[in-house]
Parts: sequence; C-alpha cells; structure tokens
Amino acid sequence: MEEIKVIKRAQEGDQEAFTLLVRNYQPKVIGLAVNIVHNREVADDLAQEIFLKVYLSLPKFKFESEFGTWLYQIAINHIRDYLRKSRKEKDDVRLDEVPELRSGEKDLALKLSEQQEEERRKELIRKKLEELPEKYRLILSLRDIQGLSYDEVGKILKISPGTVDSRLHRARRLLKRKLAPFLAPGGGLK
Amino acid sequence: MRCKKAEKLISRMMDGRLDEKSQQALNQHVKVCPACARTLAEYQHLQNLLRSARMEAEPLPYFEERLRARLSTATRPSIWATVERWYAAAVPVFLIVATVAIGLLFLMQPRQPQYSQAEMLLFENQNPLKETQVIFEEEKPETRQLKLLFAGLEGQEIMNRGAK
Repeated sequence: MEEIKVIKRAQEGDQEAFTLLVRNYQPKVIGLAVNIVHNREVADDLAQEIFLKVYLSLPKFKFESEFGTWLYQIAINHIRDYLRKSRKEKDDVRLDEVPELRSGEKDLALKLSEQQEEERRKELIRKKLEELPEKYRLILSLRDIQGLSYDEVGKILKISPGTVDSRLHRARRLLKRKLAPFLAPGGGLK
Repeated sequence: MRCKKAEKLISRMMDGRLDEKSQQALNQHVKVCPACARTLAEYQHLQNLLRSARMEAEPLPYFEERLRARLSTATRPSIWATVERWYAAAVPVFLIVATVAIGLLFLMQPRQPQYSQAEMLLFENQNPLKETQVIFEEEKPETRQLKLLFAGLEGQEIMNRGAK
C-alpha cells in the first residue's frame, strides 16, 4: 500500500496502519537514537516515546514535507530534550564506564585480540562524540554516522545548506582535534 | 591557497560537494603542503572511524506490543477537546464582558429628574404659594405671626429630613 494512504488511515485512527508506519521507520529511529545516546535501553525507550509523539501529532501532519523528514524532526527534538535533561541531572554515568586511553595501554592494546581492539576504538570515538557540543554531535550523527544526505540533514535540523556546510566542518575539525592524540599518522588509532 | 581554506575544502570534499576547479586547486595545494596532506589523511581516517563506530541496534523484545499498550492509553486531542478548551477560556471572558456592559448600561441610563415640592405642585397645576397666601390673608397680626412661625419651623424640619 502506498505510504500516503497508510498515513491517511493512521491519521483517521487506524492503529494497524500506524503499526505499518512504525515497522517501516523503527530501524531508522532506533538507529538515530542509539548512535546519539550510545545506550540500547535508552534508545529503545526514546524510540517508544518518539512514536507515541508521532501518533499524537499525526493529525497535524499536512503532507507539506516528506513524512520521514517530519518524523526525523520529531525524533531529533525528542532526543535533544533527553540530552538536555540528562545533562542537567548529571546521570550520564556511562562516560565513567568508558576507560580512558592511557599511554601504557598502547602496548597492552597490541596484545588484545583484533575484536577487542575494534571495540575499544569504537568506544573511544563514541566517548569523544559525547564530549562534543550538542549541535555538533547531532549533525555528525545524522551525516557521517547515519549517512543522511545534505538536503535531509538541512531539513531535519531546519538549517540552510550553508549552515550545514559550516557546522559540519566545525564539528569534524573539533572531533579531529579531540582524537588527534589517538590518530596515528598512518591511519586508525595509535 | 591558505591551509585554513584547504581544510574547509577537504571537509566539503568528504561530502562530494567540491566543484572541479576547487578540487584541482586543493590537489595542487596538498601536493606541496605536507601539513595539509596529513590533514587530508586524518579527515579520511576520521570518516572511516565514524562509519565504523555506527551502532546497529535491534529494538528490545516486544517493541510493537509495548508501543501498542502505550498508544491505547494515549488520547489524541480531538476537535471537541479543542472546542472545549476554547469554551473553558471563553466563559470567564464572556462573564466579565457581560458585567462591564450591564454596568455601563446602568450608568448611562437617563436619571429621573428630582423635582422640588414647589415644582411638583406646579406640575400638578397647583399654586405653590397657596399656603403662604392663606397665611397673609389672616386678619389678626398675632395669628399671622404664629402661622408664619409654624410654617418656618415646618420648612426647617422638611429641609433637615432632606439633608439626612
């Protein structure tokens, strides 16, 4: 069935039609959330809340934009609210669980299996991403991790292509600086 | 080309948004600038690292069931709810407006003119000086004086009552 028809049915209160929309967009929403908060349980909970918001706001959707873009806007706003609340409550204990990379670990890392090394690298990048200001964290997540197009990123964040360009550049430069001590000249992590 | 500009172009190149002319200029700069060549390599590594850090997440079990349970308790704001909300706000506003309007009507209503006793007598086609005339028609001066005195006292009493 065409998506427009499904949306219209869901707008009329058809829960089955809404379930179809959830099934279609669930991977994207959870993917977006988990790549920003880096916690599966929190991402799952956020996705539930996002779909609930979408369901309640569905009558307001006027087909003036792509449904996916509209849904992503709701998702980003909800995740942004969560980040602000969690920062306020200082309950981001997850950061403490990520081990700091010390120079002495370099030798140890060499001895670790390839898989462990891979995981350590990913954890480090996620940790550094979490240290970035919210706007840079979101744009990098949308563009470089989720792989959304320039246009989509601009529409979702409601910013002009020029702003997407400059914000992305600043975000990448900042992340590169944060990772500079760990970036080996030949590539990968030291 | 300055290194700062070259870095911006490198970032744009990562997104495939560089025109041919800028790409050529960047290539030439990178060939002669070891710092920018290193920057280019770092950006490329960074992009690979970001891609590799992507978390693939499956929803936790019973995602749809849990969501359905939430949806069943959530209620969409209906048109009637909106009307009711407007109605709730409109009632006190209406009451205030009605009170002010009634007050204004009351204040602007023309008042009944208050007439003096003499004017009332004139409206009733009676002579307000009739009683006084009767006093002056008395033949005896003592009786006339007494009646004038009583009439004066009576007038005084009426004025006092009016002042209260």
